[in-house]
Amino acid sequence: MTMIVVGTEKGGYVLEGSGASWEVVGPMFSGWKVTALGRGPDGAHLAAVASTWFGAAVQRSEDLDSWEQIVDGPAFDEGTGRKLNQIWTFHTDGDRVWAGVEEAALFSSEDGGSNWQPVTGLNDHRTRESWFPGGGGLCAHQVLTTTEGRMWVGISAAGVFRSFDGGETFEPANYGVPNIAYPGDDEAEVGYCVHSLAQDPDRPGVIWRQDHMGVFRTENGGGSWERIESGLPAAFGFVMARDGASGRLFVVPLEADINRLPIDGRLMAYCSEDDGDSWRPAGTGWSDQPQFTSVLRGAVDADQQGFVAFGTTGGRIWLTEDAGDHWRELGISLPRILALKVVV
Amino acid sequence: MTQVVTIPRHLANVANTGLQILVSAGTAGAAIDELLSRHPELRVHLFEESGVLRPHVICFIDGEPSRLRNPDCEVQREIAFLHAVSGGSS
Repeated sequence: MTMIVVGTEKGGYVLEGSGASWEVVGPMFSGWKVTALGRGPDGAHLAAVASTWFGAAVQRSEDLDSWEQIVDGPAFDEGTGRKLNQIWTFHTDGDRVWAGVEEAALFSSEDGGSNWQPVTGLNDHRTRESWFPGGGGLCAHQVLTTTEGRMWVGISAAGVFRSFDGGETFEPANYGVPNIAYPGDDEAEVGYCVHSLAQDPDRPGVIWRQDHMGVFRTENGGGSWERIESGLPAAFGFVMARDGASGRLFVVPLEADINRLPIDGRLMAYCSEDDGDSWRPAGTGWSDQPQFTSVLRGAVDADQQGFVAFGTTGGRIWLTEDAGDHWRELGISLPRILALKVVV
Repeated sequence: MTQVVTIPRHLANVANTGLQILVSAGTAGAAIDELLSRHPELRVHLFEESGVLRPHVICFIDGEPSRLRNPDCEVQREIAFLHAVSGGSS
Protein backbone atom coordinates (compact mmCIF):
# COMPACT_ATOMS: atom_id res chain seq x y z
CA MET A 1 0.00 0.00 0.00
CA THR A 2 1.18 3.46 -0.90
CA MET A 3 -0.07 6.75 0.50
CA ILE A 4 -0.25 9.96 -1.47
CA VAL A 5 -0.97 13.24 0.29
CA VAL A 6 -2.52 15.82 -2.02
CA GLY A 7 -2.79 19.55 -1.47
CA THR A 8 -5.49 21.31 -3.45
CA GLU A 9 -7.23 24.63 -3.85
CA LYS A 10 -9.88 23.23 -1.51
CA GLY A 11 -8.18 21.36 1.28
CA GLY A 12 -5.95 18.33 1.58
CA TYR A 13 -6.61 14.69 0.82
CA VAL A 14 -4.94 11.39 1.64
CA LEU A 15 -5.07 8.62 -0.96
CA GLU A 16 -4.18 5.09 0.04
CA GLY A 17 -4.02 2.05 -2.18
CA SER A 18 -2.20 0.26 -4.94
CA GLY A 19 -2.85 -0.82 -8.49
CA ALA A 20 -6.38 0.15 -9.51
CA SER A 21 -7.76 0.34 -5.97
CA TRP A 22 -7.45 3.62 -4.08
CA GLU A 23 -9.42 5.17 -1.25
CA VAL A 24 -9.67 8.89 -0.50
CA VAL A 25 -9.80 10.48 2.92
CA GLY A 26 -10.60 14.16 3.19
CA PRO A 27 -10.90 16.98 2.84
CA MET A 28 -8.55 18.12 5.56
CA PHE A 29 -8.30 21.87 6.25
CA SER A 30 -11.70 22.73 4.79
CA GLY A 31 -11.74 26.26 3.48
CA TRP A 32 -7.95 26.43 3.10
CA LYS A 33 -5.62 25.94 0.20
CA VAL A 34 -2.91 23.37 0.86
CA THR A 35 0.11 24.75 -0.93
CA ALA A 36 3.05 22.59 0.15
CA LEU A 37 3.66 19.24 1.81
CA GLY A 38 6.72 17.83 3.53
CA ARG A 39 8.18 15.67 6.27
CA GLY A 40 10.08 16.88 9.30
CA PRO A 41 13.35 15.35 10.51
CA ASP A 42 11.37 13.15 12.90
CA GLY A 43 9.03 11.99 10.15
CA ALA A 44 6.18 14.29 11.17
CA HIS A 45 4.02 15.45 8.28
CA LEU A 46 4.04 19.14 7.42
CA ALA A 47 1.32 20.91 5.46
CA ALA A 48 1.31 24.55 4.43
CA VAL A 49 -2.13 26.10 4.36
CA ALA A 50 -3.13 29.46 2.95
CA SER A 51 -6.17 31.62 2.56
CA THR A 52 -6.79 34.87 0.74
CA TRP A 53 -8.49 36.09 3.92
CA PHE A 54 -6.37 34.63 6.66
CA GLY A 55 -2.80 34.30 5.40
CA ALA A 56 -0.55 31.27 5.61
CA ALA A 57 0.55 28.84 8.30
CA VAL A 58 2.20 25.48 8.88
CA GLN A 59 0.27 22.51 10.20
CA ARG A 60 1.99 19.44 11.65
CA SER A 61 0.75 15.89 12.18
CA GLU A 62 2.16 12.60 13.36
CA ASP A 63 -0.48 10.48 11.66
CA LEU A 64 -2.09 12.52 8.83
CA ASP A 65 -5.26 12.51 10.91
CA SER A 66 -4.78 14.90 13.81
CA TRP A 67 -3.18 18.22 12.86
CA GLU A 68 -1.93 21.12 14.96
CA GLN A 69 -0.95 24.55 13.70
CA ILE A 70 2.57 25.69 14.51
CA VAL A 71 2.18 28.99 16.36
CA ASP A 72 5.55 30.49 15.46
CA GLY A 73 5.68 29.59 11.79
CA PRO A 74 7.76 31.34 9.14
CA ALA A 75 7.13 35.09 9.33
CA PHE A 76 8.85 38.29 8.32
CA ASP A 77 9.95 40.73 10.97
CA GLU A 78 7.54 43.63 11.35
CA GLY A 79 10.06 46.16 10.10
CA THR A 80 10.74 44.47 6.76
CA GLY A 81 7.46 45.58 5.23
CA ARG A 82 7.18 42.17 3.59
CA LYS A 83 4.20 39.85 3.75
CA LEU A 84 4.21 36.08 3.84
CA ASN A 85 1.38 35.19 1.47
CA GLN A 86 2.03 31.52 0.88
CA ILE A 87 4.48 28.74 1.66
CA TRP A 88 5.61 27.13 -1.58
CA THR A 89 7.90 24.31 -0.51
CA PHE A 90 9.40 22.36 2.36
CA HIS A 91 12.80 20.69 2.12
CA THR A 92 14.27 18.59 4.92
CA ASP A 93 17.99 18.02 5.16
CA GLY A 94 19.19 16.19 8.26
CA ASP A 95 17.90 18.03 11.31
CA ARG A 96 16.98 21.12 9.33
CA VAL A 97 13.79 22.03 7.52
CA TRP A 98 13.73 24.76 4.92
CA ALA A 99 10.60 26.60 3.81
CA GLY A 100 10.45 28.66 0.63
CA VAL A 101 7.75 31.32 0.64
CA GLU A 102 6.11 34.19 -1.17
CA GLU A 103 7.14 37.07 -0.95
CA ALA A 104 10.28 35.31 -2.06
CA ALA A 105 12.27 34.29 0.98
CA LEU A 106 13.71 31.29 2.72
CA PHE A 107 13.24 30.29 6.35
CA SER A 108 14.82 27.40 8.26
CA SER A 109 13.93 25.44 11.36
CA GLU A 110 16.21 23.32 13.49
CA ASP A 111 13.53 22.01 15.83
CA GLY A 112 11.24 20.15 13.47
CA GLY A 113 9.31 23.22 12.43
CA SER A 114 8.34 24.70 15.80
CA ASN A 115 10.47 27.81 15.33
CA TRP A 116 11.75 29.40 12.13
CA GLN A 117 14.57 31.80 11.33
CA PRO A 118 14.90 33.91 8.18
CA VAL A 119 17.80 33.08 5.86
CA THR A 120 19.07 36.61 5.54
CA GLY A 121 21.84 35.76 3.07
CA LEU A 122 19.11 35.12 0.52
CA ASN A 123 16.20 37.19 1.81
CA ASP A 124 18.26 40.36 1.89
CA HIS A 125 20.39 39.55 -1.13
CA ARG A 126 22.03 42.54 -2.81
CA THR A 127 20.00 41.88 -5.97
CA ARG A 128 16.63 41.74 -4.18
CA GLU A 129 15.42 45.11 -5.40
CA SER A 130 15.62 43.73 -8.96
CA TRP A 131 13.52 40.64 -8.29
CA PHE A 132 10.06 40.66 -9.78
CA PRO A 133 7.13 38.25 -9.57
CA GLY A 134 6.16 35.61 -12.10
CA GLY A 135 2.61 34.44 -12.71
CA GLY A 136 2.56 32.66 -9.35
CA GLY A 137 3.89 35.63 -7.46
CA LEU A 138 7.41 36.36 -6.24
CA CYS A 139 8.07 33.00 -4.69
CA ALA A 140 10.94 30.81 -3.50
CA HIS A 141 9.63 27.44 -4.59
CA GLN A 142 12.51 25.00 -4.75
CA VAL A 143 15.37 24.05 -2.42
CA LEU A 144 18.14 21.54 -3.08
CA THR A 145 20.89 20.72 -0.59
CA THR A 146 23.92 18.48 -0.24
CA THR A 147 25.63 17.09 2.83
CA GLU A 148 28.61 19.31 2.03
CA GLY A 149 26.65 22.44 2.78
CA ARG A 150 25.96 23.38 -0.81
CA MET A 151 22.45 24.47 -1.70
CA TRP A 152 20.39 25.85 -4.55
CA VAL A 153 17.17 27.85 -4.31
CA GLY A 154 14.78 28.51 -7.20
CA ILE A 155 12.95 31.83 -7.18
CA SER A 156 10.40 32.97 -9.75
CA ALA A 157 11.19 35.15 -11.50
CA ALA A 158 14.62 35.94 -10.15
CA GLY A 159 16.38 32.67 -10.96
CA VAL A 160 18.54 30.06 -9.24
CA PHE A 161 20.73 31.13 -6.34
CA ARG A 162 23.44 28.85 -4.97
CA SER A 163 25.30 28.74 -1.69
CA PHE A 164 28.57 27.03 -0.86
CA ASP A 165 28.40 27.76 2.87
CA GLY A 166 25.18 26.17 4.04
CA GLY A 167 23.01 29.15 3.27
CA GLU A 168 25.07 31.95 4.76
CA THR A 169 25.71 33.61 1.41
CA PHE A 170 24.23 33.16 -2.05
CA GLU A 171 25.14 34.00 -5.62
CA PRO A 172 22.98 33.90 -8.76
CA ALA A 173 23.61 30.79 -10.90
CA ASN A 174 21.84 31.15 -14.25
CA TYR A 175 24.51 31.52 -16.94
CA GLY A 176 23.33 29.92 -20.16
CA VAL A 177 19.61 30.39 -19.53
CA PRO A 178 17.83 33.14 -21.52
CA ASN A 179 16.74 36.05 -19.39
CA ILE A 180 12.99 36.66 -19.35
CA ALA A 181 13.03 40.06 -17.68
CA TYR A 182 15.76 41.65 -19.76
CA PRO A 183 15.57 39.89 -23.15
CA GLY A 184 18.97 39.57 -24.75
CA ASP A 185 20.83 40.39 -21.57
CA ASP A 186 21.77 36.88 -20.60
CA GLU A 187 24.64 38.19 -18.50
CA ALA A 188 22.17 39.76 -16.07
CA GLU A 189 22.33 38.28 -12.59
CA VAL A 190 18.55 38.04 -12.09
CA GLY A 191 15.41 38.01 -14.19
CA TYR A 192 15.26 34.25 -14.85
CA CYS A 193 12.07 32.28 -14.47
CA VAL A 194 13.03 28.90 -13.07
CA HIS A 195 10.03 26.60 -12.70
CA SER A 196 11.47 23.42 -11.21
CA LEU A 197 14.76 21.69 -10.32
CA ALA A 198 15.84 18.08 -9.84
CA GLN A 199 19.16 16.75 -8.63
CA ASP A 200 21.11 13.51 -8.60
CA PRO A 201 22.22 13.12 -4.96
CA ASP A 202 25.19 11.02 -6.06
CA ARG A 203 26.31 13.76 -8.44
CA PRO A 204 25.05 16.88 -6.67
CA GLY A 205 26.64 19.17 -9.20
CA VAL A 206 24.30 17.77 -11.85
CA ILE A 207 20.95 19.59 -11.75
CA TRP A 208 18.11 19.57 -14.25
CA ARG A 209 15.95 22.63 -14.70
CA GLN A 210 12.52 23.17 -16.18
CA ASP A 211 12.53 26.86 -16.88
CA HIS A 212 10.03 29.20 -18.46
CA MET A 213 12.50 29.46 -21.33
CA GLY A 214 13.13 25.73 -21.79
CA VAL A 215 14.74 22.65 -20.29
CA PHE A 216 18.33 22.88 -19.10
CA ARG A 217 21.07 20.93 -17.32
CA THR A 218 24.13 21.98 -15.39
CA GLU A 219 27.03 19.68 -14.63
CA ASN A 220 28.95 22.18 -12.55
CA GLY A 221 26.50 23.08 -9.84
CA GLY A 222 24.87 25.92 -11.72
CA GLY A 223 28.04 27.52 -13.01
CA SER A 224 26.58 27.20 -16.50
CA TRP A 225 23.50 25.61 -18.05
CA GLU A 226 22.97 23.91 -21.42
CA ARG A 227 19.71 23.39 -23.26
CA ILE A 228 18.49 19.75 -23.39
CA GLU A 229 15.23 19.52 -25.35
CA SER A 230 15.81 16.85 -28.01
CA GLY A 231 12.59 14.91 -28.50
CA LEU A 232 10.31 17.21 -26.51
CA PRO A 233 7.15 18.48 -28.25
CA ALA A 234 7.36 21.69 -26.20
CA ALA A 235 10.06 23.10 -23.96
CA PHE A 236 7.67 24.84 -21.57
CA GLY A 237 6.36 23.20 -18.42
CA PHE A 238 6.39 23.46 -14.67
CA VAL A 239 7.77 20.17 -13.35
CA MET A 240 11.05 18.30 -13.37
CA ALA A 241 11.17 15.00 -11.46
CA ARG A 242 13.75 12.25 -11.14
CA ASP A 243 13.32 8.66 -10.04
CA GLY A 244 16.42 7.74 -8.10
CA ALA A 245 16.21 4.00 -8.73
CA SER A 246 16.20 4.22 -12.51
CA GLY A 247 17.78 7.63 -12.92
CA ARG A 248 14.94 8.55 -15.28
CA LEU A 249 13.88 12.16 -15.58
CA PHE A 250 10.29 13.27 -16.15
CA VAL A 251 8.78 16.48 -17.48
CA VAL A 252 5.24 17.34 -18.58
CA PRO A 253 5.52 19.53 -21.70
CA LEU A 254 2.98 22.32 -22.13
CA GLU A 255 2.27 24.66 -24.99
CA ALA A 256 4.01 27.98 -24.34
CA ASP A 257 3.28 30.64 -23.55
CA ILE A 258 -0.36 31.64 -23.52
CA ASN A 259 -2.28 28.38 -23.19
CA ARG A 260 0.02 26.45 -20.88
CA LEU A 261 -1.82 23.25 -21.73
CA PRO A 262 -0.71 19.98 -23.32
CA ILE A 263 -0.39 20.30 -27.09
CA ASP A 264 -3.73 19.24 -28.63
CA GLY A 265 -4.77 18.06 -25.18
CA ARG A 266 -2.30 15.15 -25.29
CA LEU A 267 -1.36 15.10 -21.61
CA MET A 268 1.60 12.87 -20.92
CA ALA A 269 4.93 12.85 -19.20
CA TYR A 270 8.10 12.69 -21.23
CA CYS A 271 11.02 10.67 -20.00
CA SER A 272 14.79 10.77 -20.40
CA GLU A 273 17.09 7.86 -19.66
CA ASP A 274 20.29 9.64 -20.62
CA ASP A 275 20.43 12.59 -18.23
CA GLY A 276 18.29 14.70 -20.51
CA ASP A 277 20.24 14.27 -23.75
CA SER A 278 17.08 12.89 -25.35
CA TRP A 279 13.40 12.60 -24.40
CA ARG A 280 10.55 10.30 -25.41
CA PRO A 281 6.91 9.84 -24.37
CA ALA A 282 6.96 8.06 -21.03
CA GLY A 283 5.48 4.60 -21.40
CA THR A 284 1.87 3.62 -21.97
CA GLY A 285 -1.50 4.15 -20.36
CA TRP A 286 -2.15 7.75 -21.32
CA SER A 287 -5.66 8.77 -22.25
CA ASP A 288 -6.71 8.97 -25.88
CA GLN A 289 -9.22 11.65 -24.87
CA PRO A 290 -8.14 15.30 -24.80
CA GLN A 291 -6.87 16.40 -21.41
CA PHE A 292 -6.87 20.18 -21.32
CA THR A 293 -5.20 20.45 -17.96
CA SER A 294 -1.71 21.13 -16.70
CA VAL A 295 0.62 20.12 -13.89
CA LEU A 296 1.93 22.69 -11.42
CA ARG A 297 5.42 22.66 -9.99
CA GLY A 298 4.59 21.29 -6.56
CA ALA A 299 2.23 18.62 -7.83
CA VAL A 300 4.76 15.89 -8.58
CA ASP A 301 6.73 13.52 -6.39
CA ALA A 302 8.73 10.31 -6.64
CA ASP A 303 9.54 7.78 -3.93
CA GLN A 304 12.91 7.05 -5.55
CA GLN A 305 11.91 3.40 -6.07
CA GLY A 306 10.06 3.75 -9.35
CA PHE A 307 6.83 5.29 -8.00
CA VAL A 308 6.16 8.67 -9.61
CA ALA A 309 2.88 10.55 -9.30
CA PHE A 310 1.61 13.90 -10.47
CA GLY A 311 -1.63 15.79 -10.02
CA THR A 312 -3.28 18.06 -12.54
CA THR A 313 -5.04 21.39 -12.35
CA GLY A 314 -8.14 19.39 -13.32
CA GLY A 315 -7.84 17.45 -10.09
CA ARG A 316 -6.76 14.11 -11.53
CA ILE A 317 -3.80 12.00 -10.44
CA TRP A 318 -1.54 10.03 -12.75
CA LEU A 319 1.03 7.58 -11.45
CA THR A 320 3.52 4.94 -12.44
CA GLU A 321 4.83 2.18 -10.23
CA ASP A 322 7.54 1.03 -12.63
CA ALA A 323 9.53 4.20 -13.25
CA GLY A 324 7.40 5.34 -16.13
CA ASP A 325 6.80 2.24 -18.25
CA HIS A 326 3.09 2.09 -17.40
CA TRP A 327 0.83 4.91 -16.22
CA ARG A 328 -2.58 4.88 -14.59
CA GLU A 329 -5.08 7.65 -13.87
CA LEU A 330 -6.73 6.96 -10.54
CA GLY A 331 -10.28 7.89 -11.53
CA ILE A 332 -10.62 10.27 -8.61
CA SER A 333 -11.62 13.90 -9.10
CA LEU A 334 -10.20 16.43 -6.67
CA PRO A 335 -10.01 20.23 -6.73
CA ARG A 336 -7.12 21.92 -8.57
CA ILE A 337 -3.97 20.19 -7.31
CA LEU A 338 -1.20 22.39 -5.96
CA ALA A 339 1.00 19.93 -4.06
CA LEU A 340 1.57 16.21 -3.91
CA LYS A 341 3.70 14.03 -1.64
CA VAL A 342 4.29 10.29 -1.87
CA VAL A 343 4.54 8.87 1.65
CA VAL A 344 7.03 6.04 1.98
CA MET B 1 -17.78 42.48 32.56
CA THR B 2 -17.82 39.78 29.87
CA GLN B 3 -17.70 40.30 26.11
CA VAL B 4 -17.98 37.88 23.22
CA VAL B 5 -15.38 37.55 20.47
CA THR B 6 -16.92 35.93 17.42
CA ILE B 7 -14.60 34.34 14.84
CA PRO B 8 -15.26 32.68 11.46
CA ARG B 9 -15.54 28.91 11.16
CA HIS B 10 -12.17 28.75 9.35
CA LEU B 11 -10.45 30.08 12.44
CA ALA B 12 -12.54 28.21 14.97
CA ASN B 13 -11.32 25.01 13.35
CA VAL B 14 -7.71 26.17 13.50
CA ALA B 15 -7.99 27.03 17.19
CA ASN B 16 -10.11 23.97 17.98
CA THR B 17 -12.68 26.16 19.66
CA GLY B 18 -16.21 27.40 19.14
CA LEU B 19 -17.33 30.37 17.11
CA GLN B 20 -17.73 32.52 20.20
CA ILE B 21 -15.09 33.05 22.86
CA LEU B 22 -15.84 34.86 26.09
CA VAL B 23 -13.35 37.44 27.33
CA SER B 24 -13.31 39.88 30.22
CA ALA B 25 -11.95 43.16 28.90
CA GLY B 26 -13.21 46.69 28.67
CA THR B 27 -11.27 47.67 25.57
CA ALA B 28 -10.62 46.25 22.16
CA GLY B 29 -6.90 45.94 22.83
CA ALA B 30 -7.43 44.02 26.04
CA ALA B 31 -9.98 41.75 24.43
CA ILE B 32 -7.65 40.92 21.54
CA ASP B 33 -4.79 40.31 23.96
CA GLU B 34 -6.93 37.86 25.92
CA LEU B 35 -8.11 36.13 22.74
CA LEU B 36 -4.56 35.70 21.46
CA SER B 37 -3.16 34.60 24.79
CA ARG B 38 -5.65 31.74 24.79
CA HIS B 39 -5.41 31.03 21.06
CA PRO B 40 -2.03 32.32 19.86
CA GLU B 41 -2.36 30.48 16.54
CA LEU B 42 -5.01 33.03 15.50
CA ARG B 43 -2.63 36.00 15.45
CA VAL B 44 -1.16 35.22 12.03
CA HIS B 45 -4.64 34.80 10.57
CA LEU B 46 -6.14 38.03 11.88
CA PHE B 47 -3.15 40.36 11.63
CA GLU B 48 -0.36 40.97 9.14
CA GLU B 49 3.30 41.01 10.11
CA SER B 50 3.03 44.78 10.58
CA GLY B 51 0.35 44.27 13.21
CA VAL B 52 -2.53 45.69 11.19
CA LEU B 53 -5.74 43.80 10.60
CA ARG B 54 -5.59 41.68 7.43
CA PRO B 55 -7.18 43.56 4.52
CA HIS B 56 -9.87 40.96 3.89
CA VAL B 57 -10.80 40.51 7.54
CA ILE B 58 -13.68 42.66 8.75
CA CYS B 59 -14.13 43.62 12.37
CA PHE B 60 -17.19 45.01 14.14
CA ILE B 61 -17.15 46.34 17.68
CA ASP B 62 -20.63 46.38 19.15
CA GLY B 63 -21.99 46.45 15.62
CA GLU B 64 -19.81 49.27 14.34
CA PRO B 65 -17.09 48.61 11.75
CA SER B 66 -13.56 48.98 13.08
CA ARG B 67 -10.03 48.43 11.80
CA LEU B 68 -8.81 48.07 15.38
CA ARG B 69 -6.54 51.09 15.09
CA ASN B 70 -7.44 52.28 18.59
CA PRO B 71 -6.71 49.64 21.23
CA ASP B 72 -8.43 51.80 23.84
CA CYS B 73 -11.75 51.60 22.01
CA GLU B 74 -14.42 50.56 24.51
CA VAL B 75 -16.17 47.23 24.02
CA GLN B 76 -19.54 46.69 25.63
CA ARG B 77 -20.81 43.42 24.17
CA GLU B 78 -18.99 41.97 21.18
CA ILE B 79 -16.06 41.99 18.82
CA ALA B 80 -16.96 40.13 15.65
CA PHE B 81 -14.48 39.07 12.98
CA LEU B 82 -15.80 38.14 9.55
CA HIS B 83 -14.13 37.26 6.27
CA ALA B 84 -14.87 39.86 3.62
CA VAL B 85 -16.51 39.15 0.30
CA SER B 86 -13.49 40.90 -1.23
CA GLY B 87 -11.17 38.05 -0.26
CA GLY B 88 -13.19 35.33 -1.86
CA SER B 89 -12.20 32.95 -4.58
CA SER B 90 -13.99 30.25 -6.57
